[in-house]
Amino acid sequence: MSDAVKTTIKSIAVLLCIAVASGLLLAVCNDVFYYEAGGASDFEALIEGNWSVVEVNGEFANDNGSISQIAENGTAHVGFIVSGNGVGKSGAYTMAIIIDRATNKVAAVKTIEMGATSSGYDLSQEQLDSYVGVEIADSTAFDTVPSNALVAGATGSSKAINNAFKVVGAYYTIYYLGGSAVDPTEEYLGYLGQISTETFTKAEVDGSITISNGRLLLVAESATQVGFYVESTSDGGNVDNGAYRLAIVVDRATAQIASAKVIEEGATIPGYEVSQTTINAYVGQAITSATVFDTFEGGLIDSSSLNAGMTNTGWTQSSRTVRNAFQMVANYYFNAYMGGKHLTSLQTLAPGQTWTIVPVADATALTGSTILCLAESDQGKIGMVVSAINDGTNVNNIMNGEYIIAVVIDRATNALESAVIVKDGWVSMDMFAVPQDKVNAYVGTIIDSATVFDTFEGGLIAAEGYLNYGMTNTGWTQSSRAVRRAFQAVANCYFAEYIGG
Amino acid sequence: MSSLIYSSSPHVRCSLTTKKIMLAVAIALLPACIAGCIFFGWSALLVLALSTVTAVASEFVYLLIAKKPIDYILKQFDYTSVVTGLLIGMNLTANCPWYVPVLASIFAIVCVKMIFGGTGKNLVNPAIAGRIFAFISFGATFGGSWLAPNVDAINASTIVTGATPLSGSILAGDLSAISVVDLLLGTGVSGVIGETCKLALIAGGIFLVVIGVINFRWPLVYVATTGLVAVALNGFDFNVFLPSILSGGLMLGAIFMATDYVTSPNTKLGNYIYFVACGVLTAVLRHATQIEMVSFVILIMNLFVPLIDKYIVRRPFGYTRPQKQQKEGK
Amino acid sequence: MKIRDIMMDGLFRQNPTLKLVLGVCSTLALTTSAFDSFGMGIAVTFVLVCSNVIVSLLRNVIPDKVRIPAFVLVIATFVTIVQLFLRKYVNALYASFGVFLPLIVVNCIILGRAEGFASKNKVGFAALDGLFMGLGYTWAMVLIGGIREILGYGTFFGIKLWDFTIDFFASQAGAFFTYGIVIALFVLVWNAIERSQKLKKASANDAPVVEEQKEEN
Repeated sequence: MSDAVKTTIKSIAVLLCIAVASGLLLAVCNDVFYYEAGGASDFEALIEGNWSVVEVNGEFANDNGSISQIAENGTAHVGFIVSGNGVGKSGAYTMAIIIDRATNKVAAVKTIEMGATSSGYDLSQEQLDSYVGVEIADSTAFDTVPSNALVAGATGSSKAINNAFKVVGAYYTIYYLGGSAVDPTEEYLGYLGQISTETFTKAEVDGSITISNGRLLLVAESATQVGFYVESTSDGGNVDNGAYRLAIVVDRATAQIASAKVIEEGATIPGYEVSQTTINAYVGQAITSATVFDTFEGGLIDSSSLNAGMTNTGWTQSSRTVRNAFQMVANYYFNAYMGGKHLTSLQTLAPGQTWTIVPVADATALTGSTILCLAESDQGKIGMVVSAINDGTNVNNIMNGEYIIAVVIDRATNALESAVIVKDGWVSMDMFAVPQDKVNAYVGTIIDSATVFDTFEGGLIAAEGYLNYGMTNTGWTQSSRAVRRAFQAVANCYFAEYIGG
Repeated sequence: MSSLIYSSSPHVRCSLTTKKIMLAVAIALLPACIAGCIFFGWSALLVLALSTVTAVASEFVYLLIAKKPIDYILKQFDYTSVVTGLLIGMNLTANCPWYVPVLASIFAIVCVKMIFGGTGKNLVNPAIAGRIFAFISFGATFGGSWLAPNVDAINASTIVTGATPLSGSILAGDLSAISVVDLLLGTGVSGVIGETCKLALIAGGIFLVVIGVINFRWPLVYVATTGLVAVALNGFDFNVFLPSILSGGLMLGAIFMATDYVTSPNTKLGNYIYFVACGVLTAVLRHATQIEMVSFVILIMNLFVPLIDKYIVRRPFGYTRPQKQQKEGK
Repeated sequence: MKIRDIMMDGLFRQNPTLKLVLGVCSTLALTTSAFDSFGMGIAVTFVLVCSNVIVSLLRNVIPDKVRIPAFVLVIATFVTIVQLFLRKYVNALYASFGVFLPLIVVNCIILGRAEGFASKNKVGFAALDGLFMGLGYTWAMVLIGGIREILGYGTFFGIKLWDFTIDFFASQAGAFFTYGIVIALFVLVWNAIERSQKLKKASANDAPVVEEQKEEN
């Protein structure tokens, strides 16, 4: 055999030997360093313990995502590796979520794989940690995203992560709480159907309003009413009371309780149940403030009237719990639907007066705008807080957000006395912010018709300004048009409510 | 020994030295600096002072560390660091923290100029590099909150009333009132210290052209190309021409920074290529990114200059192209 | 003195990062944090030592024509072991290395040392060379990483120092820049050290020679 052939054979032989030897070595190492993707180690990093993988019941998946792995730390914790479906521009997020089984609360969370298109749109650990402590009572536990975990500008990622939590919530409810996998919304809407003939659709809960002594299981809107399904708990007392679940419907035009019914009785001692007659004391009451039911005693049961063979004093826990439910509804309705939370803007704009909110017949009379709050002061002024967007064509794909303005009108002269921007809606560039002097252009106008601002150009900003770097825009800026729309809504509403026609 | 003087070339000398040229440039920059200080207030003056002093000082310190004798250092001082420092200051906003002009100047002088060998040896324009350094490192402070110039066209009181937060950035005046004249004068326009008063910059540029420091062609070519490409990109709307060349840092960049001797090509054709490319790139990138791209474009083109110089060679004195050989026969 | 030579070569005289400028990709990409740099350095050191040992053991067996594929096979094996190990025990590093972990296979330092030293020297020396080259790489990486992390993020090994950051150093441009400055400073310092050492040697040995020269003049 020639040298060349010998070398070739030797080369191949050597390479093969090295390959085989490496292969054997790596096979050994693979076993020694066996790593379960997303297995115990991920949970170990979050909460120390003896994690062991358990089987996922039937490859759990729903509309929001799927669970790829579950591990339990004895009976103390259960951890999920779950993928939440991507929303908007964000892809699917894979999260590790640990639930504390004793309290049913989220104990820890970590991103395994981010779905955001770049790390700029990812949520920080701090923001993720706002999920910690959220209790899973049923599969709707994560329907509201904790405020810190809904990051403006990263809403896709926030919602994808929320989807992951929703999957965990659903699974945990079924398999660890023995609850139902079905989204309870249908069920809750059914309860509303028992006390109202309107068609309700689920509305998003405004997370900025604090609820105490219970939780809102469902907030739903219909054409003329707002329906609530609430669970209320007692606020102390020496008799063990369960939670009450009530369906309550509020009439929008009058802000009165239209109807209410106890769906789940919470009283544990016979004789303490709250009857429909008692509930009916609340029906017809108008919500005039967030605390209107705080001292309302019409629906309370004097415990001394009950013969339980014990000496009781004061109102029964059960009736107080029921009152808590109405308080919750009043609080939420006042702040969310009557613009109660906007009162502060009016108080800043026109101080020294007492403002009382009045209900608005049609808050969305003008497309693209909403009357958030209509109030009358004791000095003959009308105040409004209005939000508006502009739906005109966008230049350079610049989207403007929602503008909120607060205005004060003098009832006697119908003149617009003062106005201020409460929330700037400009989104992409500072140059589109609307300054106060543009808002002031609207001040002083007499509102004698609903369309007095429709062609008013005094407050519009020409986008022909060459501001920076030769950017050219034409026409009026989106932002100033949104502001004008808000004023249009003011004129419209004021005309409808106070001038007639 | 005869009374004749022996020496090698060059034999014709002129009185224009680097020192004088740089001094002239510094003087030409002054009107724009003064305008910037008037518009933006004392903080602008502080920024300019800090950047200039730091630039000069860092050059001194560098040479001291390099163990050059003091008299040498003083002798070789040719005002280039003054010009660089001034330009860096003019490229920063008036409300930036003190360390921004200091660090940018140190970076520009030490890392972009001195390390490469000092005056005449830098690869890119140090002022441009300093501005980009400041932009990358302190961008948040840098571009976010531009101080309102304190001339009319801005209602300064609108910043304060609580109910109308303008979210940190001050609107550059009443938008519909920003006319071409405003852009030219810099009244009510927001920007970095030196770039707002275009009139002052143009005046300085004319001064430099008159005394022969810069060639009038090149800034014109740059500015005109930018304007024309911007017009083309905006659907051939000629209303865009004047505003696009008068807004942002184009004037400052075209007149004072792109024309730097060291970092621009040596030949006429090379310069044409360089400045036209600058113009095209500026307009295109501005349109694409909506931020001021002049400094980045100048930096990019600076890096192309050695390439341009390699291929576009000055014709040697007396050189004629060889005639093509006539074909023989039919 | 061969051991001493190997040591000085690996750590200073032929420092792979600062003198030979090898393995630049990993240097530029991973020096954003001192801990990452340190981890990478240790990983590379481990692979260097192991592959050098194996290559040296097999140096008489591997035919010349297939030496590069053979080296790469060996190196790849050890890099895979490191990968498996990190994935299980130090997941944070595994995640932050990303694609640069498998890229260690083609890191010029390792291949260069395998070809240039291990295939020509005995096992013991090869191992030591791998160790010191790796340590030289590690300390250079940690230095650059430390500077970039302190200036660019205000932290050091993850511990927050202050709020002031110069984002330039956290960026890719800063990577090149810091790398260049560190090389320049190292060369400056090392040359000064070497010069002073030579002077000491010269003054110790050459005194009689100088006198002779003077007499000749």
